[in-house]
Amino acid sequence: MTDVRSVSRALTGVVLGVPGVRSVVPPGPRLASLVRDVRSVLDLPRDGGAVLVQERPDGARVRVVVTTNQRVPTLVVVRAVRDAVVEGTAAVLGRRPTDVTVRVVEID
Amino acid sequence: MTDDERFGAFTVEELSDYLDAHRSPRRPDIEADPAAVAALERLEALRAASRDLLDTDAVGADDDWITSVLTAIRTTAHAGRDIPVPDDDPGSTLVVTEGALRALVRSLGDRVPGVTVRRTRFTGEVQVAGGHVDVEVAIAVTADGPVHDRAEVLRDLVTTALAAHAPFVVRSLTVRVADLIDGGRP
Repeated sequence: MTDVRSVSRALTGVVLGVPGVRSVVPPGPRLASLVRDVRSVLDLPRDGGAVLVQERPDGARVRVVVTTNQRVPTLVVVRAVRDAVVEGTAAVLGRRPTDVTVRVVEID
Repeated sequence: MTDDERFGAFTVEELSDYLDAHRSPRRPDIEADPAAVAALERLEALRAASRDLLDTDAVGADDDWITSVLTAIRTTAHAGRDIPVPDDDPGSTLVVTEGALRALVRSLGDRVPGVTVRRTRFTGEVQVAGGHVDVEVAIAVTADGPVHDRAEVLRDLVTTALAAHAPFVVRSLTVRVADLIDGGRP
């Protein structure tokens, strides 16, 4: 069984290496959950990386939330992050992920 | 990743947008809905979530984790809608949040002396990848300089920035002077 935390740490490093990425933010609770209970955010994992990696029968699902630098076009960054995640996942797990989500939440 | 849960008759996104607009113009339908008003108050409290929360619960946590928590709160509370990025890969979902673009426009306003961006609204095919979107930027301007010129400077900055960062086609861009401030920054 793969340790998804170590995969997450590896992919977090990969994403941080993409030009234009400022930070990787752990996907937190949905806004509705936060509104109901702000303390739900404290459930964010304290170990592992900031990239969410889930193993499913049909393959890996990877979810990435990033803040980016406005000196680099965001559309270039978001696609480069996706490409890096696909390549990084294939390198670590030996197969491409089946589902990758990249979300840009701040452009600083 | 849309929050479609409702508080009273409204989605949390609608309430978040209303809060972004400082509850102005007043929406009687929202203000008369007790569940919506309660959610608005919690959402405001969420946005004001302070380090007290962390001081109480995160003793011993490392700085990186604290930073993650604060960033997650800040970005989630202001995220707005997910705007899809045109892409050919069916296995990928690439999005830029509405909140990211609003904050970008707000920061551009800070570069123009005497201008404060009050509100940025995106309408049209916002949730269609590569859709056509109308952009309206409402600003407050101090009265100590030419209003039109500064509005034009901001318009040029926003045009350039959205061309680089927005995953949609800007169909129209309106910079509207909503307030004229008599001296000092608004």
